[in-house]
Amino acid sequence: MIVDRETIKEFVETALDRAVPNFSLTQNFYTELTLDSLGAIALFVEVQRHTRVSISPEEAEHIQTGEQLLSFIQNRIAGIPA
Amino acid sequence: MNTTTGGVVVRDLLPYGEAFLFVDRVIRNDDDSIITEKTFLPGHEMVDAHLIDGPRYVPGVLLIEMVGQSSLLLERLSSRPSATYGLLGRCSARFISPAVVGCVARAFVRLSGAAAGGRSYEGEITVDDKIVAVISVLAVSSGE
Repeated sequence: MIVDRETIKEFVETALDRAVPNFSLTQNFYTELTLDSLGAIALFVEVQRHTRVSISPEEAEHIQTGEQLLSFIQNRIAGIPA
Repeated sequence: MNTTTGGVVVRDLLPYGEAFLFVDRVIRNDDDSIITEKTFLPGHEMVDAHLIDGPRYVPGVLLIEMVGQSSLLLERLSSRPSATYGLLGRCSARFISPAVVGCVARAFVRLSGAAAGGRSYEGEITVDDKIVAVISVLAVSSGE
């Protein structure tokens, strides 16, 4: 699966349950997009469902932007440890 | 898949009293999916209180609960460690046709995703092999 900005946007929109027309990879999920803790779980489960990349609760704490999430997924797919 | 007999196992595995048990039987299960059944009989307080002037349909919210309880059973019967996923965080449901009171509802529920302390499940409820609802739930660890 190719994971890019659009894919990340779709994951985030699913987690937020709303469209994010001005989505940017640099936006903070929590402070700028108002993702709550349950939404965060929904986000990472959605990522796992579509990419098969598992994210532990500890790893999830350090992923706060689309940029970080994209990089995490791409590294995992490439076999690079976090 | 294993066959699990009867309500004794269900009662032992779900943290609910009789009035809030929405699984009667586990028909089959493996680590990633489960098939359960519930007979929605008249006389159940919540069923009887729904649409008191008729028609006699099983409340959709109880079908959602049935999928939630089935997902909890799936975890508790699985070989995975820390199978404590029990609190429903989110759900979405499409109700396709009504389940009439007195029916035997069958739920097929499969684990569809897991990450960051949450798990997602996709469920399908059928009555007499006809799909009545498609329900997805997101469960989070209950922290037991």
